[in-house]
Amino acid sequence: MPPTIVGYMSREGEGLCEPDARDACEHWIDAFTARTQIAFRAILSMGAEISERVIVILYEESATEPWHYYMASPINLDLTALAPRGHSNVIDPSTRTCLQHVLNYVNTAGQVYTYLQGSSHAASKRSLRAAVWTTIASETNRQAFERSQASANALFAWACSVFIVLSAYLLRVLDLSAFGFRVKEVSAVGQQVDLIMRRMVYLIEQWRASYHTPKPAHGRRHNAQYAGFWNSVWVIAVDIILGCALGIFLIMCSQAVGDWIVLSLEQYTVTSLEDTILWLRGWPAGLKLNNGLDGFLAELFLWLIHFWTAMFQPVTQYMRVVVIFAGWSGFVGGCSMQLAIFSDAMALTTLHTYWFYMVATRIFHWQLVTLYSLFNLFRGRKHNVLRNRIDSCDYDLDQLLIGTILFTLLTYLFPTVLVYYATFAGRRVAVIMAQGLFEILLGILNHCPIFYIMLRLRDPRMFPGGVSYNVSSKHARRFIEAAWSMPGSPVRISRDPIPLSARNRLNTTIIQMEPAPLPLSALFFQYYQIWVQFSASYLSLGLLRSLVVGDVVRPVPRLQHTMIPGLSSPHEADNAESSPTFARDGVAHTSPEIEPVH
Amino acid sequence: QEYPDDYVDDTFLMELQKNANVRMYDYSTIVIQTTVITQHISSIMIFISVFINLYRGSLTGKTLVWCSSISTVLGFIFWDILNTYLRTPEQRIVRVTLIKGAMFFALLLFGLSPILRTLTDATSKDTIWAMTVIFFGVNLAFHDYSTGNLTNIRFPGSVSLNGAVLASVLLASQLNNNLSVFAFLSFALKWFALFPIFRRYLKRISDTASMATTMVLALMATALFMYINKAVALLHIFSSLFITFACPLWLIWVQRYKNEIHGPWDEARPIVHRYFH
Repeated sequence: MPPTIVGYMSREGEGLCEPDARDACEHWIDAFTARTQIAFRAILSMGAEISERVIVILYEESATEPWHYYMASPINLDLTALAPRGHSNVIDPSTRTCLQHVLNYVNTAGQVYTYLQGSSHAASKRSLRAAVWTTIASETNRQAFERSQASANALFAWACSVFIVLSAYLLRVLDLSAFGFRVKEVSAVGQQVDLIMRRMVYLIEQWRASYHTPKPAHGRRHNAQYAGFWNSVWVIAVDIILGCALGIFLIMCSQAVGDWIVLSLEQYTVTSLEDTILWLRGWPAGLKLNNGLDGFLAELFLWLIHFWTAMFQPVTQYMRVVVIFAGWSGFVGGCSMQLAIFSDAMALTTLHTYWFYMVATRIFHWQLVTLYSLFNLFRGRKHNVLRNRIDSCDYDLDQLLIGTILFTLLTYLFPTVLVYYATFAGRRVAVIMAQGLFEILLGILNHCPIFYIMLRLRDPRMFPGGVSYNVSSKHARRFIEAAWSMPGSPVRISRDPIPLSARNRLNTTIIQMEPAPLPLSALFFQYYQIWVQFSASYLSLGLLRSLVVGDVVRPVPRLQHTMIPGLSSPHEADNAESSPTFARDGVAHTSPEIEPVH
Repeated sequence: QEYPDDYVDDTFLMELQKNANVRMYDYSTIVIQTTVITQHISSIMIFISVFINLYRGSLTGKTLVWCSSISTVLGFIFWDILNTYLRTPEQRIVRVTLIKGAMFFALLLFGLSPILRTLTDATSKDTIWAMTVIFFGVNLAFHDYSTGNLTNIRFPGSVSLNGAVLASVLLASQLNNNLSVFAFLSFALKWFALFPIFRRYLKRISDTASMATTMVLALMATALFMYINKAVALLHIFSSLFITFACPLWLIWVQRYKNEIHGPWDEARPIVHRYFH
């Protein structure tokens, strides 16, 4: 709707405005102000004065800070939640409410004010700048400087495009699935590299978008994007600082750290495992296991440990090199890269636990399934594969006999297998929990809302979180005094030529609308998402169930994917809508080789 | 209304019929039918005595294998003859399949006997005797005493077979060489799976043969146990006599308390016509 005039505010000594302007509008508000007081004289609707209660809502507004705007519902800082499918950043569910509709007008009022003021304001700024230039440098110098700046910018832009193309290839490589699993799902380092690439691409794109096109003064996403951009920068900076500190420590004490790692690895992964198996060999905790099977399994696993130790021995000599490598990588990738390297190293050195667990799980699961099926045999039932249910069935005599004997055998061997399975499953779960801990640490480092908190503390109005209403502020009182002291004729306005009608005094209630800032807990939305994902996969009942039944417990896929807006993780890429570039901002080119990841 | 509140009409419960479908039992019939239970108890006793003899060493595995194999072959011939008379051509089971199955089964058992021998090394003897008693009790309780199914073993019957095999595996693990284990287990399977079939066939054919079998089995059990434990043998005799002669009297005496009520309020029983070939 185009702006229309809805009233006239007269000063002390002025009269009312022209009647024809008044009659042309549907609604008309007559107000006047005298020194510090403002009052309503009349409010007309369709030409007739209304006699209902009028609620006046006051708000503060500053033209110099257009990023302070009002919103009816709290701003959503999570950029991926509002990732647009297409071009618009206007379609927002919050615009559908009536209050937001009104607040839109409130927010644009500043622009109208500036427009009405004319270009004198902007012109004054420009002339100031010109004055500065002429005092600092001569005309030619300025042109040369601007030319060199323009060429430097072009060079930088070209470098950025090359980087984006290369990173797209690297992302595609990381996304490759080999042997049935993706590199970045299995290895923490791969995921970290992936995250860094995506972050770089996002930052560069954002910077280019903001450089090439003027950003709207108060788009709803603008504040969130600005904060998100600078938060990424800050997180990277903090990461690298911490990484440098840790890296220096690691490089200087590499020998000692390497030796300590080798010692503790040997103790925790090999020696304690051997001791446990030897303990299981001879009636652990008084449980009477079948000697034959017990002996067989113990010998098997001890031999496998011996094999693993023999294989792994030469690697321990290079532990110092690994530590130094981790130290140097801290300078490049930050503390999170070091944590990722440690997590991967831990996963590699406990590989034998993983193998043992798989073996034990297979045996256990097979035994459970067979026992269940034989149990059904005795109840005279059978699993009907066609209908996927258990039906009654008549068995032959020999089937019954063989089934009985096998059932007896398996029942007696069951406790032994159960004990071994429980041991290895417990160890595997411990390793997975440790990896989860690393994941959480990585998540804390990678998505720390430093900048959000700083911004929120410095300028709470940057993140609008709704509005609150206050009845008794000092501005409201000004109104009230004026309204109450108007018994038909204005107080302290003596030269008003038009007398007011004595009968009505407008029944007004004045409320002050104040912006409510976003609560501090909303700034930690990324942590909350990580926590939700973590507890859903690690602390769920499904884990318990698969432990009991004998299903393989898979390590959880990485938690870090979905934080960067605009870039789809491979799981969502089937929709193929977000590409690594933000085409909607009108950025000049989209490289044809950059297509949606996977 | 013209009736008082506690009015009971004369036609109330006129259609009530008491004990309409009850048959009064005849003493001799019940006695003859009870012999099935006595047969089974005696067979369990014989089995236990065989085990005790094997355990003590007075019976060798070789002897047992030969005896059970010969009697199985005899029983198989008998069953074959009956098969041609009692069943229609479509229902006859092919002999070759049976023999093949039996061979395979014997091989399997022979292969598994070393494992089965050391299965319960760790369990103490008391546990084993107690569990054996429980399993034989299960076998006794769930046994299929009817003569309906000739070779099919339906659900409750399979539980009894399962209990018997579990008990015999437990007992077999107490023996000390593989041949004994194999002999004992094969004997157990024949005794608890094949012998009841023989008894059912016998009962179907003639009652006197069934009675004679009962006597033979009871005498054998008593005789075998005389050398082991006289008290148990006497207990066996007395319990058999009690079950066979005293319990039917008791049942008939208790029949007088039977009080069934039928009436038009019963559930309707659909009459299903079965067409037999």
